[in-house]
Amino acid sequence: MAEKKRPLIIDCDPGIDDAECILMLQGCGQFDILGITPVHGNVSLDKTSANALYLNEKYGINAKVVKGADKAIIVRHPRAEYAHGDTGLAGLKVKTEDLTFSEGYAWDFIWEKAKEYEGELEIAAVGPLTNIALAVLKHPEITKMVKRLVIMGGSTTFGNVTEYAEFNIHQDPHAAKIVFEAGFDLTMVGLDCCVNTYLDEKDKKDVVEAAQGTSVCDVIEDFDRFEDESIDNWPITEDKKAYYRSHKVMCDAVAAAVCIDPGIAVLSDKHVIVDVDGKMTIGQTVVDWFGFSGAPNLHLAMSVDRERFVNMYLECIRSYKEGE
Amino acid sequence: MAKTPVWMDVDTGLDDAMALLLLSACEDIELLGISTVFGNQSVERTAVNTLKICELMGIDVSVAAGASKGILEEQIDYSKPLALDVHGQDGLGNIGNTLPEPNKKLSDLCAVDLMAEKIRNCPDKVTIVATAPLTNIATFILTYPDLTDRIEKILFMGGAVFGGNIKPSVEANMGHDPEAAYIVISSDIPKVMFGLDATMMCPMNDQERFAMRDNGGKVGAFLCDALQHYSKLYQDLAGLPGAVLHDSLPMAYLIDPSVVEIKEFPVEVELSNGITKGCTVTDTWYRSGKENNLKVAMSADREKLIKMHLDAVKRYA
Repeated sequence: MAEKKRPLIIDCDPGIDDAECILMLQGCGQFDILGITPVHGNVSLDKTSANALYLNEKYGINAKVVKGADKAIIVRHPRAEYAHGDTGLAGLKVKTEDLTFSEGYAWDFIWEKAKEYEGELEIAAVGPLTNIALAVLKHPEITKMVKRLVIMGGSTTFGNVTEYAEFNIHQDPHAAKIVFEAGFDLTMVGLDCCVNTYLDEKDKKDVVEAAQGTSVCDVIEDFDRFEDESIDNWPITEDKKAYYRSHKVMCDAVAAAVCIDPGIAVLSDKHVIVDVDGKMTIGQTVVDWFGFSGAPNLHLAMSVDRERFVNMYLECIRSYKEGE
Repeated sequence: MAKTPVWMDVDTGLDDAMALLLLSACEDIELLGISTVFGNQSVERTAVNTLKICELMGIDVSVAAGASKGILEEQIDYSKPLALDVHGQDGLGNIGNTLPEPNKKLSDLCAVDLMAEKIRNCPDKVTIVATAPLTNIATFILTYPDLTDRIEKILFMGGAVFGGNIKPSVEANMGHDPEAAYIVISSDIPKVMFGLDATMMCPMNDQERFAMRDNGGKVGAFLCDALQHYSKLYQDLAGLPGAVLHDSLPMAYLIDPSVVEIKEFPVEVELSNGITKGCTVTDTWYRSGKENNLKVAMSADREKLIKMHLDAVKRYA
């Protein structure tokens, strides 16, 4: 008897690593993906939502794609075209002419599905948390109706936008604070954890090889080429360039892996506070290591088993073999 | 002339009740519905109070309960006596229990969904009168971005160009949810702020309060008695001759704009943690070079405002 699939909504801002994340969540075969709810983030909403629509079709997911927020609750921070290309998906030709969005707003869709699936719904949120926060503002009781929320965001140490702030949280710190304090069963997969779960040169070759003869070959090859070319153009030393080429970071995909199998991560329950106020630290996820400030509010991913992650990713890619 | 469609957002609340009194007497307004929010009391309490006041005044509209706390603020514990007991522990001057339990039930929809339904179905743009923390209005702006252009304007009680009432430079409705205030005030929707600068000019003295009882049937009698505690508080704490009817001012303006003097300024809500969080920072000298984004009531005509209440209550004689 086939095991019942786990109902899932993917809230995302595709984004190259979002595309890799969605690829895994579909490829692993464990989920009934009910919807993809794009949000502003890496690039503007019109681009992330077009990309979500395209990936939904490309990966054969057949989920509803319901647009979310086009801006953060309070702040207006710059986007990340530099990392994802102008369209958000490297140089990929995103065709959406025959595809349509589902009616309504992301937050209402998430709420409706939380009710419909009576405590079984899981959410992978790998962009700024605006859509999830708005669902909480409208329906605070949603937190007890969602089985698990796994986010890619924040960091326990260094940031990638400021000294300590990670991009997704920095894009909408107020939304993150709402979500962190709302009472979800929340798992945080932070930047430092994701950076340590990289692909090296050999893994990258294996990925491109695994993609041959699959329906996602063009996507994988395009991302691979785009990232190497981008590194060539970065204003950094050759040593650093060599380092980045042998350390491909794919943050959202690491969160996907934790969503698929939490056992891949070392998790520790902690109280984490989002700073919305600091001149220097806005968007920092401040981890209370010593329990000064109250009960834990999330499961913090401390590390992820890199080898298992790489194998999981390769397996997920192979599942897209044509005819299978 | 077509009636002006209005949505009200309240935390009833004694002065909210006075705003509803003005509304009930105005024939040019079509009230689409009311949302309630935490503030003067818990959202559960303000919802029941609103239903009770509506039934007392014969206002028959849908009422929906909204937010129980500010967007980022901690939930206020209303089960304990409030530090500064302004509206009575029941939000109606401790005599809310003299009103019958309401027959009408709250809407099944949450506040912003009911608001969206009514605004979407209204052929004309809707004016919002908000006399409470702006949580529901901010949530509406955030979650129905395609309907914000259906709002004619937002008239809200809150803020102060100078001064405050829960902190030296923070007014209560702003201070209870500074982030919501920020979202509303920085939105593109036209809006007018009725802050302490104007509202504090208009206390209703005891003689006027008693006139409501003498001329206003059971509505006048209830309001007179309910306001006794509130009126005494303003006399004792602020040295004013009586009850300051903050929430009436935006409604009075809608009925008769001449009741206030309006100026326009660049205004932003302070969100940094500290003594000024929630302050409506107003550039009265236009130093910043920023665009004017808010109309502000700078003063009000007390005699006119009080007379509006005394006239309104007469229909219940």
